[in-house]
Amino acid sequence: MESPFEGRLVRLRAREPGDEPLLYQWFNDPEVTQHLSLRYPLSHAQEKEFIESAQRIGYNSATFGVETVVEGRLIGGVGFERVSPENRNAILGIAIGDKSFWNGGYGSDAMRVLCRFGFEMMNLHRIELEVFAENVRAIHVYEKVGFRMEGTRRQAVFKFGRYQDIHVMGLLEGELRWE
Amino acid sequence: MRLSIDAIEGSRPIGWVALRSDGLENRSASLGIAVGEKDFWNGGYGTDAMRVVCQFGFEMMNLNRIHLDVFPENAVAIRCYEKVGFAIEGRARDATFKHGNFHDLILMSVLAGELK
Repeated sequence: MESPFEGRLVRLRAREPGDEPLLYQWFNDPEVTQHLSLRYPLSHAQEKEFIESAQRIGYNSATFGVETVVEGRLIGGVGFERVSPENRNAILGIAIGDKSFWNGGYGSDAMRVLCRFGFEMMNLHRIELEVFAENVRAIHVYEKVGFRMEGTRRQAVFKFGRYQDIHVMGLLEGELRWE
Repeated sequence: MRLSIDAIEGSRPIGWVALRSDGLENRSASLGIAVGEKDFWNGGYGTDAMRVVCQFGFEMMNLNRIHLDVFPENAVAIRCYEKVGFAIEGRARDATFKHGNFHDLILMSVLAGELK
């Protein structure tokens, strides 16, 4: 049987208290947070609190660590926010914090595994995400996975001294692509 | 911020309007409005309330952007929002479920200086 948590390169798993030092390092790295909504430095206390809250995994808290299949090394995190049972939709978030795993297909694989999990195990109908219009590399990944561009929120986020446009992308049941 | 909409004549409450921040740094807020008193539909009250709350948002709360979602079937509302200066930014497919079906949502926004 194919594991619902596992793709070609990565596996989703529950977050553990021992993950805290890596999360602290990643999410205080401006290169990692550049394309995320994060702005402020994060404390150890905040990271601990986040991990604690993320440990009661379930429909309303579907957030996972991403580890490599080969070594079981934690390289990032993915999850759904604002999961709505009536609308059967959720907002997807992803961050590959370990920079040595950028551009190797790990992010795409994590996207596919999470979306498959959302559709096949959580019975979602629609998965939505928001991405900085300037983040062309990420947009390319999302399109490859099957997401469609649905709109542009003008000047929606202020960061690095200017207002930036945000694209809204959506993926419906049956649209996920594995190549 | 949630306020009552009162008709000037009679000081009668006819609905409500709300602005909710999505990130104070972004100076952006989402808008919600409902004119619940059906006698006041199609009389320009909703449009007037939209203008007042948007003007308040831009001039008193120093917002840069106000946005809302609307059902595509709600042509009267979309026309009203466009008249006030909102522009369509996109269409989220199957974004909400009601009355047995999935419905798209139209995304609209108005930026500081665009209010008409």
